[in-house]
Amino acid sequence: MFKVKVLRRYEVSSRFKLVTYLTSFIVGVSLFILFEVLLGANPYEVVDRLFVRPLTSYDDLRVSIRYAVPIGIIASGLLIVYRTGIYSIGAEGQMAVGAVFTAWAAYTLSLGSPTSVVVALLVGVLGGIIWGLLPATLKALLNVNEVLTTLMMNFIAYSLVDYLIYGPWRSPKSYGFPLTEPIPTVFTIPTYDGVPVINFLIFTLVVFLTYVVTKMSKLGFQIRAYGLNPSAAYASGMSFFKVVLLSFMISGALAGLAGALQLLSIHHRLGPKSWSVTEGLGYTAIVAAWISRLEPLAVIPASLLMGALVNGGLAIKAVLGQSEGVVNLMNGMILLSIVAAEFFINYRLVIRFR
Amino acid sequence: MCVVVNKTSFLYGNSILDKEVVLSVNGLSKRFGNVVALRNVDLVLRSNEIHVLLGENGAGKTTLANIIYGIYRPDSGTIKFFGKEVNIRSPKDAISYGIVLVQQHPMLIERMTVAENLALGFKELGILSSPKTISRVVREVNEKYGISVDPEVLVSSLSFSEKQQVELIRALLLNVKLLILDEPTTMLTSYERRKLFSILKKLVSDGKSILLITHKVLEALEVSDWITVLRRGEVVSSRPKDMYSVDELVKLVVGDDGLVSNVVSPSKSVEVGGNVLEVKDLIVLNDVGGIAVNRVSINVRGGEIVGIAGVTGNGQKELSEAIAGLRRVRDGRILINGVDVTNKGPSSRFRAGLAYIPEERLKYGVVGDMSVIENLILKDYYMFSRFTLLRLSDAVRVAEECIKTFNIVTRGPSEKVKALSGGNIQKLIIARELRLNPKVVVVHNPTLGLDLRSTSIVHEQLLNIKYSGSGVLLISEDLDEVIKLSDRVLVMYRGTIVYEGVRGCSREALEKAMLGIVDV
Repeated sequence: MFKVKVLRRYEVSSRFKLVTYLTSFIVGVSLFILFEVLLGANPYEVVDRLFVRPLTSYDDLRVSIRYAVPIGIIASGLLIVYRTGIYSIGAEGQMAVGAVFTAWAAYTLSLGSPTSVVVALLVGVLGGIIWGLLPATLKALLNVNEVLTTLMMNFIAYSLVDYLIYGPWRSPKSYGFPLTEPIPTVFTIPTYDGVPVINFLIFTLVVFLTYVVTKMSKLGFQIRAYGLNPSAAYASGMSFFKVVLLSFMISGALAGLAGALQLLSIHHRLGPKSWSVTEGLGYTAIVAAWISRLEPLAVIPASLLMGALVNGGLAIKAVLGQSEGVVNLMNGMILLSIVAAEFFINYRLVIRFR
Repeated sequence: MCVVVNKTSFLYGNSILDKEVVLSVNGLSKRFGNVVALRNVDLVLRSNEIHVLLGENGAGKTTLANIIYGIYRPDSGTIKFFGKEVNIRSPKDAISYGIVLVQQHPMLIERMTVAENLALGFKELGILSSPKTISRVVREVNEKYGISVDPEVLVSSLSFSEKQQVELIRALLLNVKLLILDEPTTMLTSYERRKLFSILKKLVSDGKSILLITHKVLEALEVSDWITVLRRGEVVSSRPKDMYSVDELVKLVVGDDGLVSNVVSPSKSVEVGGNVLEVKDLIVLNDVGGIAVNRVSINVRGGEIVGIAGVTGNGQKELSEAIAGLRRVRDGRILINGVDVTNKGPSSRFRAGLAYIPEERLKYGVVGDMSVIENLILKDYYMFSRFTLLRLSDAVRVAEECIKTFNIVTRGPSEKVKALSGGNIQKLIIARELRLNPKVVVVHNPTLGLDLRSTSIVHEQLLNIKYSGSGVLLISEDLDEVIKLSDRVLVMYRGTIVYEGVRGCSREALEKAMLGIVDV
């Protein structure tokens, strides 16, 4: 028999942290591969589809970038709430509502060429902000646990989309499928050879702005203080209400922006489940934000990596004929491994055999 | 080294040196990053002695204790316990050798009884594991060493000194051979301190050895058999107590460069101004909903220091938190400089002219993971900005000035505050609060755990506030401090002000009032 003891680590070097995080990421991906193998997949093919092709072949890379851009924009917003010490998982719903608002703008407003896109994007941003306001106010005023409220809001957002596509916005020309009309062409954002170049430029701008807000602004200072020691931040006169509300609004705005961009450049219409604008990327972005260790610049490689993994995961699903859950499964395994890394950074296990 | 030994044996006829060596530390060194915490430290602790480790904040006392207790690993050096070299890798290892450390703040679960708390540590002992058996054993221990803790009561109803005694009992149940106490007297009244020392002396005569960490010179001379002085991570002297004089010991502790005359001269007269802090019929609840502050009224005028004395746990914490805006007021009003701030947030109080120096420095005072400079501007960071962007570079000069004026020992303005010693963190908080020219300063236990030099800097600054025409509310468990600095002294007992004295009132009356005895 053996006995396992958990002992606290008192000194941790930053190199040890880095190595632990990298290892945990690899463990998470390996667990997923192991799972696929148990389902009967060839491990070489899984690795090839998951990593090699999405990052090397041009055709696949284009798709990886199409996923990476919304993931990165949302993760930039999420890292701001996470830095405040708020664990919002509501980006998925905020993204969906952003797309709904943008679709509404595209169906009802008639505007000239460049203004139409800008207005539609701003309306989408507004949608994302509004969807975050309820959890934000509940947190800021009554300290209601944001994990529950933001998760609930995601389901409400899904139901809202379902209501629209099965009801008032259902296109008569969609052969009975629950899809909306395509948005007018004046509202579309062009892609170049399938690469969303404009979206990518907006993404880099977002990363730059996130960097400025977190590292150089007064708000970033308050956010850091609240994230690192809420009691001291409150005692020194920083407003909890303001910091919570603003960080929620920034994260909601960016999720809404991502939804709007996906609608205007990629999907052009709202649809159910696998045809939806969000494609679960609002959840994938959570993983990307934590992989970046909440550093704004690291969001770029983190989101490219997660974009490639989503792309590869969907390819595996298609090739092996598996269910929708494959990508969520992968996200979950990677996130759990990263959370577990936190444990191994703070504690060590001692195993004694008898 | 040789000379010292000969001199000692000459004076003491070898009686001390003949005792068995319990702990011997050889050439111990420890660095944290670039900071050398301990350099080549030697220490010999003999059986049946109280060995005091004396030094200022940041001298390395706690680091040394934590190494002996297995919390830190040394970079080099060896530790021998009863002559055998030991490798202590965790507190559990230490306990298995019979080494127990009693922390500065007792680590107990408030909502469990004393016996239940003690039972938690004894899974391995089996027979002792039930609280009932523990109660019986506790009573035996109580009788033997003159401790008076009822094992059946909830820990939350105990005073600080009683909680500390619970920790001592825990150590005794663990069959302690070497007991390490880290600054055990900082929160105790003089009566409680004498009681603790009498318990410690009984322990020693019963065959235990004690390593006691303190920064108080007089205390070291009062209780010890042997004193080792640490300064900046090095042992500067290690001799039997009787071979030191007070003056010599102070010099050894502070070093040649740091000798401070006791600058405090509270006699300088200041004109007393209008009310800067008015507390009217205040009722505040404690964490579990009981009344902690019961209809307290206090006025502080500009140019005076009002002291609040009292034994820990009589509502001082709740009172100070209510004034700072960290705890809701049930009834009554708080006015700062004429502005009603009752139940408004901390920022409105800060704008009205309140500065707050909290007792819980690490919780309410600083953000440990932020830098010295960021913590110095934690309240007025928005003054250092251009086009809404923060310009920390503008604050560097301010920070350097604070570091110099308040003698904050740090590697530089960008060092993280959690790397600073307790005393230096306190100096940093005071520097930040005073820089903002407050109208009234509320301080709670400002010199708790601080060394001589830091204490005198803090006292000087509190008097400077008074001379500048602002008011000070000094809430402190250190009666000497209250008496020394205050123009008026209020005594708080069970949530109410039971006594008010002016400068020069009798110490005895105050001490009695602190225990709830008031002559009518």
